Amino acid sequence: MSSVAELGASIPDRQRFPRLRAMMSDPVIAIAVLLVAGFFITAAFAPWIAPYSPTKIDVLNKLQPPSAAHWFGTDHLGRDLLSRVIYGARTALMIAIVSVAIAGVIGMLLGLIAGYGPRWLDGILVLTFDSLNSLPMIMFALAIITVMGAGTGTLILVIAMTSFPSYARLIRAQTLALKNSDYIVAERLLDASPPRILFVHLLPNVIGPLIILLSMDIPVVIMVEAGLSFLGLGVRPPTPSWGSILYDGYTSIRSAPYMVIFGGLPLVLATLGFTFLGEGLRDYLDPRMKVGRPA
Amino acid sequence: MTPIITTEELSVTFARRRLSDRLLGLSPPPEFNILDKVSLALMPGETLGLVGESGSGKTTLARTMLGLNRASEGEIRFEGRPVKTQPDFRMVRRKSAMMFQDPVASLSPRQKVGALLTEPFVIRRMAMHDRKATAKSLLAQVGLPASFVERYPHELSGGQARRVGVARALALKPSLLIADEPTAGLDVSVQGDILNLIAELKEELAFASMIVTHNLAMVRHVSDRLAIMYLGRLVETGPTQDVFDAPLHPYTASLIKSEPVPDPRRRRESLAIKGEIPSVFRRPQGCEFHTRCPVARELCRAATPSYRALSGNRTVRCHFPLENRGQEPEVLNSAFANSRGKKHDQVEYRST
Repeated sequence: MSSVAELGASIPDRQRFPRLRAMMSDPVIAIAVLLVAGFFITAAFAPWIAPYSPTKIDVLNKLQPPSAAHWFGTDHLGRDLLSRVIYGARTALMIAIVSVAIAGVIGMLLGLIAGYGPRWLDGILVLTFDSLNSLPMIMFALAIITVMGAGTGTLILVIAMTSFPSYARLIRAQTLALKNSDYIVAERLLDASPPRILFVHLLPNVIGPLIILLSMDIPVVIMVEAGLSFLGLGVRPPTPSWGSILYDGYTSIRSAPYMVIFGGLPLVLATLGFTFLGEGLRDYLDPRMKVGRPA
Repeated sequence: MTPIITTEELSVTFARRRLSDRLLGLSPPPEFNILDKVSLALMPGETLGLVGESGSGKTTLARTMLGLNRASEGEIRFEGRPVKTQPDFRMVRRKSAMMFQDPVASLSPRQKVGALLTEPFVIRRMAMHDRKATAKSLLAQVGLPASFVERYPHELSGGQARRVGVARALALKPSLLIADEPTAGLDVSVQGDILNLIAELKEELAFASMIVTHNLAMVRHVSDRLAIMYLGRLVETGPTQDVFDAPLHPYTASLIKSEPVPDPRRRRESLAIKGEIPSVFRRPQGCEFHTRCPVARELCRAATPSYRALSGNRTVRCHFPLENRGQEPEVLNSAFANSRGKKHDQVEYRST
């Protein structure tokens, strides 16, 4: 399987990105790409797509079932559910991407330092990663939120703090495996500076698995955000979030079940889309990790 | 003439710390000599072949010379000046280059050949008018087309990667080249090309080189002088031709004997060398070669031979060097024949 990929890579220009083509020919992954692209477009153009303001209260029209005017119906305050779902995509994606990006950068830097740096520093850093990893995420989130108050910033902080250790450990393991490879020793013989070795020579060779892990963690973070918002610990109430839509729907699930359905559906689709995309990326970036599915 | 690089009684030890030692701190951890008092000098323009089995410490010696390993004892001198601190080693590394066994693995995989070739100039802040032109002239020097600047290491064959390695090593015109198994893993025809290339560039750039290898056939053709290592110690040094004609140390003799000869009618007399190389963790007492030596006597088991300089620029570490030129093959052959039935489990070991 990898021999085919290598063959493809050594033929320049005849067919570019053969593995990318192979990846997109898988219908599940193609659908996942469409879903994810759809969410990004929805989030980016929310003000133009959404028919109403997501926070405009219209108590006279509360708990309306889906209709031509309100495709997804309205919630207990008469807010248009479709608009709230569209703006919710914005919240979900923003929090997921920002927190995963922050965690990814911190994890990458600390992982490189732990893997390449002196042993004592490695020891201290690994101890830090392990202690942070041992904290149960929800309990840690509750503690931080109690101290700092709920809000988008707190949410991002909590997610970044709890997820960077696993990224750092991944990068550290990769770095440890490569730090004594011939080409790194060759760079040391050239007296290349540590930043040069780390960022020019090690980073491109260790970052692949991290990108896969990050893309597969985005749906997890979307779920965490929804979960905390459902508990009232996430984004603050007027801001639309899929989690708070679910919570609002949950209180009136018997009279207006469509709220839970329309609040939950994008969550399910986003999670599936990002997960499959992550798997596709994994196959694309690292053919050795592929299990089972033919190219 | 001052030698390019000398090592004087260079030792590399490493302590094998067991968990119990670390926790209890009862005794200092046992130390093991990876290199034991290696003294070697390399003259300008000379090619030295450093020969030994796997685990004999030849790569460690090469790496220690360039400061990748810390020497625990002894001294390194580069162009007559002692090398002790990191800045000293940086000076050594500036004027020397090392090539590793695996030609492809020693090139950073995500860098193009062009970037790899100009990197030494960038790191050492050497003037270079034009990156592309510099890379192309280096490629031309090693006989590769200029279009290779755009290639990645995995797009190169072993021989091409080795050529890139040579170009990179010699980019800054070093006065010392250390090549660790420069022909390992290459086709025989490509091996020849690479060796000729190194020889040509050596004429042009006049650097001294040390070739670390276990390939006697190769080292015989390229080196002026040989140094044979066994278990982290030098056992013999001398001019290549003399060593091949009349090896002094039984180990050298067995190495030469076990070299395959391309003659189908010639039968291989007994496989000259027996058994595995002992571990440095259980260095044999006395002469460390006595466990495998065909001519070992009582004295060899009891006392470590000292390093002796003999006439003709040769040195040997053996109580009973095989001196008699004319007589040598018979003596050795009968000795090997006698040793065939010898039992090896009676050998005494010392644990340090």
